[in-house]
Amino acid sequence: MKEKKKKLPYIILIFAVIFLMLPFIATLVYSFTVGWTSLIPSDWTLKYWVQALTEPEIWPAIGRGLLISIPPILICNVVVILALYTAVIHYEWMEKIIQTICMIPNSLKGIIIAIPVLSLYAGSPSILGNRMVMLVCIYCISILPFVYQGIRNNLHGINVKQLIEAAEILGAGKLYAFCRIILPNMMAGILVSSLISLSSIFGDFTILKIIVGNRYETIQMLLYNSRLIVLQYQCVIVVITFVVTWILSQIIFKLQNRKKKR
Amino acid sequence: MAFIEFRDIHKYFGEAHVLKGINLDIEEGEFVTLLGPSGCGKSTLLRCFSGLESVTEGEIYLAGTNITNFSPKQRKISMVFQQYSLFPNMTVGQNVAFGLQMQKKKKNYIQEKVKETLDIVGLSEKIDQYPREFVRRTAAACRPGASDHRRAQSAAP
Repeated sequence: MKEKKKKLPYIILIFAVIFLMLPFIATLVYSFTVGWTSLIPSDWTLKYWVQALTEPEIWPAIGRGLLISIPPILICNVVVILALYTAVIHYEWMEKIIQTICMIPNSLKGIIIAIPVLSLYAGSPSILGNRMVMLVCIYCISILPFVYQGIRNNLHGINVKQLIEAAEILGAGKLYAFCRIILPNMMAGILVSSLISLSSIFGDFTILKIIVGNRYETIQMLLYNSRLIVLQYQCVIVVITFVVTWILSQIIFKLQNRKKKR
Repeated sequence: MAFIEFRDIHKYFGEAHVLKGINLDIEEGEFVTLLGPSGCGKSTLLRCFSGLESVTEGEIYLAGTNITNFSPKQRKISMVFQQYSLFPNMTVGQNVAFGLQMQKKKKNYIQEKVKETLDIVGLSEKIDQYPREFVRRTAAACRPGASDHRRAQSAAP
């Protein structure tokens, strides 16, 4: 009976992993097929992988995708951390307002944010009329719920008010305590929300297409432009996108764990 | 004049009148315990003394100096928190050394003092470990002990 109890969580976990990995495995398998019209594929090939990996456009497109993700993640993290920290320490009543503001983008999907912004600022002589600035600003809004949720949970998890009070009692200033104690303890939350934001921006196509069109070709745009090419080629791009995001997250987590062990 | 003096201390939290004219004199070296039911204002009085809460009315004197409007940093009062409040990103040794570092003491002095304090409570072996549950209470008690402050208070037994 005891053995059964021990095994059950593993069995559930294995099923969950299989269920979650199934779309990825199917995409991966399909990328190696020549055609799949019956129960099993007609033949296997590496042709699409060779084609994709030798395609000069792919790696710059991945780079552009990563590059456009960095400014919104940085801006959003700084704004949310400062706002939530101030609310938790000084104005607790403000937390509800911040929560409401940060959760609104959940109900506003890409197309709903992008079109009004475009019609409002396109042609504006100010810096907001610049398409890249517009894109960064919209991404800031779209990742707000992820960043908020990660940082909020983290701030409440570490009992920030008491840690600041303990540091103050021992002679530290508020700013010093924030930089030396609060920020290092928030790194896990910041990393998790940043990674979710990164995959959200990395995987975005709608906002990018509406705001900058074909002028800034990320991997998603490349995928869209290659939609008329065979499906297997698109599968290869999807797998590459997934692997790049996964490698990035692994590197970040490894770095964090190494720091902890030290 | 007593070493610590509370003179007619009043504290309001919104409408709630928590401290109602507290007058208390404590001599240097005296061991004082505040006893009372939950919510009677024991912690609030300690927090007012350490500077974590401001008083609505009244004055607090420490060694003849009016510290009512001093920040916690200026008061140099140590405290063991009810929830320990050890810094999770620092080792036991770093936690104990924190107060001394804030006082800008020399590195050698800090190392010696930390070792000495941890020796007393038998935590020397845990100096490089992160504060886990079994050492939290003891390490929390060491932190103000090592910080060279003249007064220490605890918010709970």
